[in-house]
Formats: sequence, C-alpha cells, structure tokens
Amino acid sequence: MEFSCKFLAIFLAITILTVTRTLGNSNVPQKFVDRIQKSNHTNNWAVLVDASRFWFNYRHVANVLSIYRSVKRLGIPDSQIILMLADDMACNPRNSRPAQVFNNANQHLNVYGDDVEVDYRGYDVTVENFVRLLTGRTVNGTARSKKLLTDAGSNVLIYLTGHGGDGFLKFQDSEEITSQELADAIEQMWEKKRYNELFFMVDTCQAASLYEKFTSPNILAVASSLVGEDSLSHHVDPSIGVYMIDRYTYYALEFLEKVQVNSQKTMGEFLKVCPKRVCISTVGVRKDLFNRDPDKVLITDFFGGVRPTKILSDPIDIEFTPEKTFEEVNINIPLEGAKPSYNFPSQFASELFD
Amino acid sequence: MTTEDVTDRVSNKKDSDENLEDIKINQPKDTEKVKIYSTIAFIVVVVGIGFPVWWKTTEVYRVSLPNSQIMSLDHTTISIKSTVFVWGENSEVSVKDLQKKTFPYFWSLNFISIPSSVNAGSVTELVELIEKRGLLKSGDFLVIKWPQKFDNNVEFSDKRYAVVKTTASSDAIFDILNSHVLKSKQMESALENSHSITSRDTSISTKYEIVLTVLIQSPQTHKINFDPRKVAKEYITPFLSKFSTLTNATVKSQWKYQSRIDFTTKKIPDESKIKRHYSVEEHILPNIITSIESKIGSGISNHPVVNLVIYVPPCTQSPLYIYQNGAKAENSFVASSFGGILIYNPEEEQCIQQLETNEPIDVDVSLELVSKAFLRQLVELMNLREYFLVPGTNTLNLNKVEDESWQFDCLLRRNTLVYLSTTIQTLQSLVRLLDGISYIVINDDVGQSIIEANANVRKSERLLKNGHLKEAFEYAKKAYLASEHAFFDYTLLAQLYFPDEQKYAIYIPLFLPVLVPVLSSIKTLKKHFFK
Amino acid sequence: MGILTDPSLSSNDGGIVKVLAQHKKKICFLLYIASLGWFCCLGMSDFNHSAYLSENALSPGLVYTEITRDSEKLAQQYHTEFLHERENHKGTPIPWILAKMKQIGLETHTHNYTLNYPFGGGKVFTGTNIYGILRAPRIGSTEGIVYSAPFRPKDSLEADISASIPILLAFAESARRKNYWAKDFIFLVTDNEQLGIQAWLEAYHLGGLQNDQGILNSGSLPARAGALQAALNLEIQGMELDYINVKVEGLNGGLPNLDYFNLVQRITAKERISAGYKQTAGKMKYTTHSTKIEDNLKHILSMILTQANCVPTGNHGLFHQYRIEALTLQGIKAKSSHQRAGVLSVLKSIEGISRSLNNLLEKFHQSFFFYILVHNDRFISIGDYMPCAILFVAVFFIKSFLMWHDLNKKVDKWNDDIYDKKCEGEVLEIHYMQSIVAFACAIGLGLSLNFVCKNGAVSEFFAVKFGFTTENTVAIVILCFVLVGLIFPFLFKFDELELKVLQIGSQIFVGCVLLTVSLLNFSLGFLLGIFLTPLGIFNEVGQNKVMKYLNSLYIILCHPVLVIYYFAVAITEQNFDNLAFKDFIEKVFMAFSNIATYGVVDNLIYGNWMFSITTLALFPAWILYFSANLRDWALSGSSRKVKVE
Repeated sequence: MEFSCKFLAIFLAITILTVTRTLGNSNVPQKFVDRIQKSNHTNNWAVLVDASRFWFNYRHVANVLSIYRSVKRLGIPDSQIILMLADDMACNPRNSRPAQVFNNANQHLNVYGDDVEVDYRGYDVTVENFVRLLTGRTVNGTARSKKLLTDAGSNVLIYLTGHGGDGFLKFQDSEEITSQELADAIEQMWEKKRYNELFFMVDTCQAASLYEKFTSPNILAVASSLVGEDSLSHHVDPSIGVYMIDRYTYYALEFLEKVQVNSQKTMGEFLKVCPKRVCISTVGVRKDLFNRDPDKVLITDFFGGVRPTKILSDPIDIEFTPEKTFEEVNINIPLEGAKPSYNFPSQFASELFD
Repeated sequence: MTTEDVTDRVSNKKDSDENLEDIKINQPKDTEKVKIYSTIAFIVVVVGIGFPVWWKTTEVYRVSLPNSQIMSLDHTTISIKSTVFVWGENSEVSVKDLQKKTFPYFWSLNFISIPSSVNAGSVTELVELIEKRGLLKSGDFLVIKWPQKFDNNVEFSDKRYAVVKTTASSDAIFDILNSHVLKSKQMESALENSHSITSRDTSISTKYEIVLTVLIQSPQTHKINFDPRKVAKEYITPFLSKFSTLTNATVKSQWKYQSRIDFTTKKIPDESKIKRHYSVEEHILPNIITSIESKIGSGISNHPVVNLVIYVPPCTQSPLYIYQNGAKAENSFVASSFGGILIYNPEEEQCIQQLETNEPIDVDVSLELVSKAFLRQLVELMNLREYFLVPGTNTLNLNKVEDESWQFDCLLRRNTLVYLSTTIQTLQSLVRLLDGISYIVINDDVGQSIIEANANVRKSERLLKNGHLKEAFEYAKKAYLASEHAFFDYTLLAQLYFPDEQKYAIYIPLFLPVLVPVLSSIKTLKKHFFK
Repeated sequence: MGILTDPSLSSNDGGIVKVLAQHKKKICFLLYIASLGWFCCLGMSDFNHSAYLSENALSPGLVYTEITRDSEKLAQQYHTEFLHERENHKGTPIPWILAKMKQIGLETHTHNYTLNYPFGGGKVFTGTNIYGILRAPRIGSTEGIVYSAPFRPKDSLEADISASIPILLAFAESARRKNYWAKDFIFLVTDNEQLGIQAWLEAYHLGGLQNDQGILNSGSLPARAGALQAALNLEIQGMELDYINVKVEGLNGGLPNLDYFNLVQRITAKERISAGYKQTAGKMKYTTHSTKIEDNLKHILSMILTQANCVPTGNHGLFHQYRIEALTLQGIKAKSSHQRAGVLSVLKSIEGISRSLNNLLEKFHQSFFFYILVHNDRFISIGDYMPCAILFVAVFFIKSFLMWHDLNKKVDKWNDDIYDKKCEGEVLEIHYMQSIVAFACAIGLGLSLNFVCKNGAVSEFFAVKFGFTTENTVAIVILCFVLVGLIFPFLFKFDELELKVLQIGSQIFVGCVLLTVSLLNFSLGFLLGIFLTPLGIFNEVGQNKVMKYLNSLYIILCHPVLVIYYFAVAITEQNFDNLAFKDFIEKVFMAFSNIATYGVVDNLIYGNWMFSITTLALFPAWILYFSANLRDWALSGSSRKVKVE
C-alpha cells in the first residue's frame, strides 16, 4: 500500500512537472494547439529545393524533380509549388541525353518533361532568397510565382536536398544556411500564421542536424541520416556517368509511386519507408512538435492537393434586384458589304529612282 | 701599430666604459621628455578620439521603437461600447433585467429605456422620431416592443432596430441581442485571433480580385449567348459596392476555350429525353478544381483571388450533375481558397439535336440564374452568410444591406476586432524579433510604420471604448496595414547584416597591434610619472 | 619593453643571443644533420600519404567507355598510312595530317614558326605545327583541352613514337561523333621536339602581343579554343605495348596537379594497363604497406634527381609555365610476344581521362601542385618535405645573424673613443665600404657572364675572328670569366673586420638564393643545399689551420665549372669506353661545351633557369667564398692588425 502510494505520488509529481514545463515553454496558448488536432487544412503548398550545383550533383536535381512529379500528380497545382533548382542538368552540355533528366538507370523516366515550372533557377537559389521566401519578406516587385502565399489553413511540404553537414546545408558551393536560421524562419512563419502543419523532409549528409533547432509547433520532420552519418547515393547510370538518385529519395519515391489521389496510406508508413538495411544510414524522425499521431495522418494531407469543397445545396432564396446600369452595346458589326481593300506596294520601288 | 698601443687602448677602454655608461644614462633629457609626451599624445588620440569614432561609425542604424508600449498592448483589455435602447411596455423592467445579465467581457453595454412619451403610429415613424433626437448612432441598437400582432417572435429590420412582441421576456431579448445582433461568439473568436482567420481570408483582406470565367470545352459545337460583363456590372459590382468601406475588390471576366478538364464521370441511364445523364461524385470535385486552376490563370495577382467559374460541358458529357451521397445535388460548389464553380448544362433538346446533326447549337444562359448562383457562392466564400441570413428564414437578403444597418455594424465590429488583435500580435512578434537580433537595421520606413501602428491601435481602442465604431474601424485598418507593411518589409532579414561577433572578429586584428605598444608603454609612463 | 618609448630593438645585453653566439657552429651543424635526418624520415610510411582524388567532379571510371573496335581498326589503318607517308616525305607529312583531320571533321589549322638561332650567325630554322579543333557542341568555346603527339622523323635519336599520331587521330574521330563534350579539344601535332610545343604555346597565349624580333618567332594562331584546362601528350611507341610510363616533370621543376596524375592511375587501372611513374616491366602498380625505407628513399631520390636539372622530360613540361596541367603517357613497346595492352586499351584510357576532364567546371585547384612521388599511390606533400630545405636556409641566416651579433659587440668595444663624436653610424660604415664594393663586383661579374654568354655579338666576333664554333665560344667565355674570378681576391685588401662583413654578406646572399630556388624547385634547392651548407657552417674567419685547409679544398672542389666537368666526365665515361687519354680529354671538353651551350640556349628559348642560377647566383657566391678564404690565409700569415682611420 505504502509503496503504491509513493509510486502514485511520484507519478503525479512527474506528470505535473512535465505538464507545467511544456505549458510554460510554449509561448503559444494551449487553445491554438488543441484546436488543430483534426486536420482542417484547406490547401497544400510545397517548397522543393535543390541547393547544389555542378554536373556531378546530378542526383540532387533528379531527387527534387522526382518529388515534384509525385506532388504534382497527387494534385498540388503549379501555382502552389515553389521549385528551386540551383543548376540546369537538362541543358548541361555534358548531358548525353539533352533536355532529359532521369532518376533511374533502368526505367528511363524523364522527370524533366514539358510541364516543369521552375520558380527559382541557377544563381537565384541563395540562402537569402530561401529565407525571404519562407518569411514572406520578399523584395518589392517579386513575381507572384516566387512567393509563398500560404495562410493559416495551408499544409506546407518542405523538401531540401544537397550537400549538408552538422548543422548546415550548403547552397551553391559558396554559402550555407544553418539550422538556427532555418528554425528562425519557420518560427517567423508560425508567428504570422503562414502554415497549418509543416512536413519537413531533408536528404543530405547529417540531415538530422537541420531540424534539431525547431521549436514551432505542428512540424513533422524526417531526415535521411543522423548526425555523423552520410547519406548515400543509390546507383550510377554508366551511360551518363553520374549518380542518378539518392537512396532515401529512391525508396521514398517507390512508396509515393504507389499512392493515388484517394489513397488511405498514412504518414506513419511513409516515415518507415527506408529501413537501415537498404538506406545504410539511419532515418531520423522528429515527432515531438507534431500534435497528431503520424499513423493516423493521411499522406495526402501533405503530398496531395485535397481541397475541401462544399456543395451549396441548402435551399436558399436570394432576393436581389440588379441595377440596370449596363447599356447594351452592339458588338457585332455586320461585315457584309464592307470588303476591305488591300494596297500592295511595288516589288521594286522604281519611282524612287526616276 | 705596436702592442703597446693595444694595451693603451685596453687601459683607456676601462675609463671609457664608464664614460659609455654615463653617456648612455645621461642622454639628453629633452629627448626622453619628447618621447614621453609623444607617447601620451598617441594614447590620447587612440583611446580618446579613435575609439569613440570607430564605435559611432560602426553602429547599426536603428530607429528607436516604443517597445514597452507595444509589449503592454493586450487584446483582453479591448472593450466595445454599445448602447441598446428599449422602447415599449415595461421597458424599464427589461432594461433592469438586461443590466443584470452577463455579456462577454469585451462588451461594455449601456441599456437605456426610452420613455413611452415618445410615441408614434407606426414603427418607422417611431424610429424616425428617435433618430431625430440623435440617439441611434453607429453601433447602437433599438428593441421595440410593439403591441400590435405579428407573426414571428422577432422581426429584424434593415436598419438598427428589431421589433419584438410586447410579451417578449427579458431572456428572449437577451438571446436576440447576444446571438444575432451582437454576435458575441464571432466577436470572441475574432478577438482571440483564432487560427483560422488570416490576412488572406477574403472577408478581411483589404484588396482582392474576383475573376469570372466562362469555360467552354468545345466552342465549335456550342455558341454561348452570355455576357459575363453584365453579371459583373449588374450584379456583382453593386453587391460589392455595399462593402466598399470594408474592402476593395476588382471584378474581371474572361472566356476560356478548349481547355481540357480531366475528371471521371459516370454515365447513368434515366428516363429523360436524352436517356442518360452523367454524374460526378463529390470526392472528385477537388480534381476538377485542380485541373481547372492551371488553365484559368489564377496566379497572376498578388492579392487573394476569387474565381467564379461557369462551366458548360460538351454535349457528349451533358447533362452533368453533381451527386452527393448518391443523390443529385446542386450544380454549384465552392472551395475556400479557390472560388466557386457552377456547372451549367445546355438544354436537353438542343443536345439531342447537336449529337444527331453535329451542328452547332445556341446555348442561352440565363443571366439571373447564373448571377444568383455566383452571388450565393460569393457570400459563402466571404463568410458573410450569417450576416445576410434573415434569422428564422432561409433567405439571404442581399438587397438592402446599407451602411446604416445593424448587420453592417456587426461586420465593422468583427473586422475591427480582427485587425486589432492581428496587429497587436504582429507588433509584438516584430518587437521580439528586433530585440532578439540586435544587429538588424531598423530603417526610417519600418520604424515609422511600427510607431504609427502602435499609435493607431491605441487610438482605435479608445474610440471603440467610447462607441465610435466607424472611426475605430478606420484607425484599426490603418494600424493593420502599417503593421503588415512593417512585418513584411524586405530589409528585415538577418542574413543581410553582420552579427556583432563578426564585427569584433574583423576589427580586433586591426586594432590589437595598435593597442599593444600603448599598453606596454603604460608601464614606462607610470614609472616616469610616479617615480 | 615599452616599444613606444624606446624603439631600438638591439640590446647588447640580451642573454640568450650571447649564449647562442658562442655555439654557432654546433647549432648550424645540428640543423644540417636535422635536415638530412628529416629527409630520411620521409621514406617512412608514416610521413608520406596515400594518394586520393580531391576533386569530386572527376569521378573516374563511373561512365562506360564508348570506343569500339572500329576505332582500333581505324588506328591500325592510320598507322600503316602514316609509316608510308613518313618514308616518302622529308619532315612532317603535313598534307596527310591535314587531310585526315579535315576528314574527321575538325577545324584544322597550321602554325609556322621560325627560330633565329642566337649564335648561328644568322641561321634560321623553321617548323610547322598542325592542329585541329573539335568544338564542343552545346557550349561556347571558353575552355579547351589539348591532346598532343610529337612527330619524330625516322632518323631521330630518340625512341620511335610512330603510333602516337594514329592513336590521336583515331581518338579524335571517335570523339567527333559524341554530343556530350563541354570543352573544346585541340588535337596538336608538333615537330622539333620541345621547340614546336614552345612555339605553339607562346603563339597561343602571347601571339600578336610580342615583337617579332626575338629568338623564337612564334607568330600568332589563326584559331583558339579558350582557356586551356589540361593537356595530354602521347608518346606511344607501338601498337602493342608492355606498360605505360607516366612522365610528370616539367620545365624548372614544374609538376602537374596531383589529381591529374591520380586520375590517370585510376583510369589505366580500370582498363588494365600497367602504368605509373618511372614504371618498369616488373614493377607492381600499387604498394603494400611493408615497403622498406631504403626503397622509398631510392624512389624519392630518383624523382629529385630528375626534377633537379630543370629540364622537362617531355613535351608536357612546357605547359606548366602557363599553369596548364599536363603529363605525358609514354607507351613502351612490348618486347615479348605476350601483349600486355593493345591500342583499344590505350584509346579507352584516353577516353576515360577525357570524360573525367570533361566533368570539370573549374581548373584543377583542389590537390597538390608540389609533391614528391614515392610510389604510384604514395606521395609526400610540400608541407612534409619543405622543412628539409628550410633548415638549410635557416643555417645560413642564423649563422649570419650570430656572426653579426658577435661583430657588433666587438665593434662597439673597439670604437668607444669615437662614440664621443656623436656620429654613430658614419665612421663605422667607412670600414665596410670595401666589402660592399667587393660584393657588388662579384655580383657584377656574374651579371656580365650571363650577359656575355647570351649575347650573339660576342659569339659572332669570336666566330669571325678565330673561326670558333658556338660551343667553343661559350666554353672559352666561361673559362675567361673563371680566370677573372680567380684573380678577383687580389684586387682587394681586406682587414679582418671587412672580411667578416663580407662573409656575413655572402652568407645572407647564399641563404636568399637557396630559399628562392627551393621554393621554386625543391629538388634543385635541396641538392644545392646539401653541398652548399657545409660551406656556410664551417667557413669562418680566424680558424685553425686544419679547418682552413679543409675549407679551401672544399671550396675549390665546389666550383660550378668543375661541377659541370664532373658531369661531363661521367657522361663521357658512360657513353664511350676505352679511349686514349687525349681523346678522352677532348671528348670531355666537347661535352662540357655542349652542356654549357645547351644551358644558354635553353635559357634563351624556353626560359630554363639553370644557366641563370649558375651565373647569377652560384658563380658570385663562389667568388665571394673563395676571396674570403684566400684573404683569410693572407691575414693569418701576419699578426692580427686593426685598421683605425
């Protein structure tokens, strides 16, 4: 009896402590977080970034384009996908198959079709532009397709690939974004209610270090390798001479190819898509900031473009008297009888030389 | 030279050694003094002039902000003042009862009973009388307990009053006020800055675009007699003009031909003349939106866009009906961030004719039907349903929503609260960011916007407390726009500036070699002056 | 302390310096031994690194080679045609090569150059290079790679490399049909060994910018292909090869980037050809870890000796001065019937190298430019071997500093009575004037030797008046200057002080020379250092007789001209056996004059530094040391006297 009392007391104390700690830590009122238990997103956005250039980083571009294809196939429209490619592999002079980018040596599926819309290309892919995109602090005059116009009901998918290290991701071989800067940008997004839920996918070396500093709620993060591990590439296409795709993205794609628009597959399954025996690196997952159970979240919540529609079926009368202010303008001008005349100047303007 | 010379040298050397020492020590005093004074001058220049100049010129330009004021703003201290007049039998009793009731914390309500001396034959005359006295101002409401009989429990007017039965209880009046007139629930959610309302919400965004699209897949077989410009000019623009204080919208229209729209339909044979119709299931509707969206150019504007699309299916696919739960439903649906789609089927006889003869047909589109459908969609998208719904009926009365109506007062109140709470949150987040990263430059534009937003928020709160609803709305809107402008300013990016550590890392290697002789000379100086 | 108040650095009472000055010889000798010891340690496998590819872009061997047997057959066909042409034509078969290149579809051009022989009395030689450019299909011509094959006439003394040009053309034909090249290829056929390539490179980089009156008149090129990123030189001796010898040393000790060498190793390993640096038939390609230090040291020394003479081992050596990474693949003909590598393997290797070079986006910059190869897969980086040379230099500088310190003390003591006059530096300087003059004269001698040897007018004068050949002229001039150098010490009368100052000056001079030379060409610097450093350590004014004897002997043995004679003797000995003594002496003299002339000509045409270093640095240094030593003998004869003015 005494023992169980003690146990109960300790248990209670620990629960109270943890609850107060979590309550105290979050600067977001509990109400916010509770109300988002059910999925009530209204639209989907995707930010897909390839941060590395050069011909031998072909696989990064193939990674991103493959995810782009899947995301587009599952319904997210181009106007809601921000695609950032740091280099142009399709038109690279070293590409023995010009204007085509493949992600698999066998299938020869061209992921660079004729409907790929790249929003940031080449040297535009910089840390500054990426952070501007996320926080919304774009320069005056930025095109609409280069802005992340999300709202409080948007589920955002962020996919990053390139070369990374402990706590940073290399952009373009000349600069880096640190995990702290990334966390700050996402925190700014949360403060201005620019996302409902965020799914963060990283496929680089030591990828798990990138999501370590996140503190904003409603983020589910997955990384292809833990700190200290390298993410490996999958295979080489010996006819092109470069690595085609990374291991994690390869297996993720294998899974996504089987997903249809009305699929009932869950995020929990997606998180387990690359076990250590095939990926060689350990996949890292961060669930503590995510309120729902990933096993009960549909994969189309992040990858698909499901938009809740409402059929206006209830019987409603509208009383409205229009203002007859519009005058009838006769647009159709009858063409009969008015034959246009054409005047051809002479072939050689000899009158100029007479 | 002989050795004697050498020894002479050696003996002389001893004396001259001492001389040497003397000479060395007795170096002219002036040179030493010159050295000391030049050292002092050097130190003075470096420490006294150089250091402050360096500090000042490497400072980050930051406009000073009223941080404490901004952080002390609190949405829970906002209170809205409104006066409710009651006229009729036992109005004093009603007023006393109402005063005892608890309304939510942000209301500061005044209940005034109008004496029965103010009397008139009809309701309208009575209201005129009361207004002449300058009583019913923006945000106020009048409950009239009219003795004559009428059907419903309460009849709402298009102005700022409602008529109830004389026998209406105080509870009933309380109910009417709380749920319908004051709409406390919506006000509360607006004030709490619930997560579902954002700047891109069409009901509160200050500018947006409405695009009417007529989508025809096979123009060679259908000739549509329809002018979307008429819809825009006669129906939609006048409707929107009622809200011009609240928000600005531009209406455009376009025709889109031959865009392939992919979605799966089911052919269902029936008893109609054409012997079959097509159905599209409810869960397919998002696909329709996705396939339409890329074709109609919805991505051109920076402001939120509401697309109102009328789709005329080809005869091979018509008549097309939406099925919900196995039963036919209306042909109009909305999606909150996209807009609305209306499926308009051509006449059956026409389609039969077209399929047989392959000749083009004339499709007459009813302007009124389409306009009413679009207005319905628009109301739904702008979340204005409950404002136009006549309570107790199924009618949306869009006719007489004028500035001087209680519904409009509701909208103003709601938007004011949303603007205020959003602005407060934005400002506080911005101040936290700028305090946290001390090297971000706060230029004049951003600083001015923040100060202005802060001032306007306070002004608006004051006005709201004193019951001046329209002015409070104006200032709240100004504050909201200023705070958004400041928050999304493109210069507030930490990546653009050097952190302080880097500043020190650059300048220390430059100045340390200069300071080392200074520091090492201090000892000699001390020795010299404090011997 | 208190620098602001008392900025003078020297304090005669510094304790440590005093102690050091007493043991200068020991310290310097220790440093010398340390350097040699460090060098020997470099042979241990802990001190050398295993080779790795730093540039990720190269990705050797990731792509399948696409060259087929058709190209091999084509190469065979070209080979037979080429041999036929070479029989019938005198000189380079230009029309045949032009025709073949045009047939392949390259943009062909010829480049004519003339050599105005500096001593020839107006003799003019001409030559022609032929090159074809394969333009990259989908990119602007901003970068290029050069594939060169030298043409050797049938009667050349060097090994016959008749298979190089056919292989070059076969590869060009195969490359022409591909669409994935990102750089232009230049297929170059040169003649006259290194002269042709020097002229071509000069014309490529400086064409049109330099005046045409120089010795090598290279003209300008009609077409170029952008900045050259890399070059591959082929010296394939036959259609069946035993192994490939990779030659890396270039002009003045330059080397290609180590990544390039490692790339060649990987690719040839993939194509199963035995290739390596100083490869021999039985040598293994890769080392195991239990290699003896002696073997390693032998390999290191062989590379150092090859690199030290500043002469490039192949045509690739001329590219290094423009910072174009280049090396030569020398295919050794298979002697036994067992064929190790055929033409197809060579073609595939070249293709593999090209694909990897094609991937590059930037010039080679990741790996080492200065290294010493121990084995094909082990190397020593500059950070590890440079301390050897620096320690030698340190000997000179430390010794001179300590000598100066000693000198100062004594000088101060002896000049105290002058100090009263308060002119601190003036009186002292007058004592050193002679030393400075002597120093200047020695350097002047070196300069004039350099100038006279290179001046065509002098040789013409001699040729006209005495009928001497060029080589003899050069030899006579050098010997004249040697004589002047021997007389030099007698022109000046030094006292002890001046002698010491002179010695300090010459120490610093030699130290600077060694430092510069070892930074530019470590091998040469190191070898010079081994022999010059004892001079620095043991030469001092006022030593005992034994040391003085040894010193004098060593100095005389170290004369630069004598060193050249040693080489001449060695070479003559090697080439001719059993000669009569008189013939032997004649042959030695001829060898000597040849060496000297080639040194001068190389300097004039290619910019080889050997001659410059010898005349401008070693010759004056020898004169100074010799004078100091001789004067020391003279002084020790009489008692120690002090000159006081």
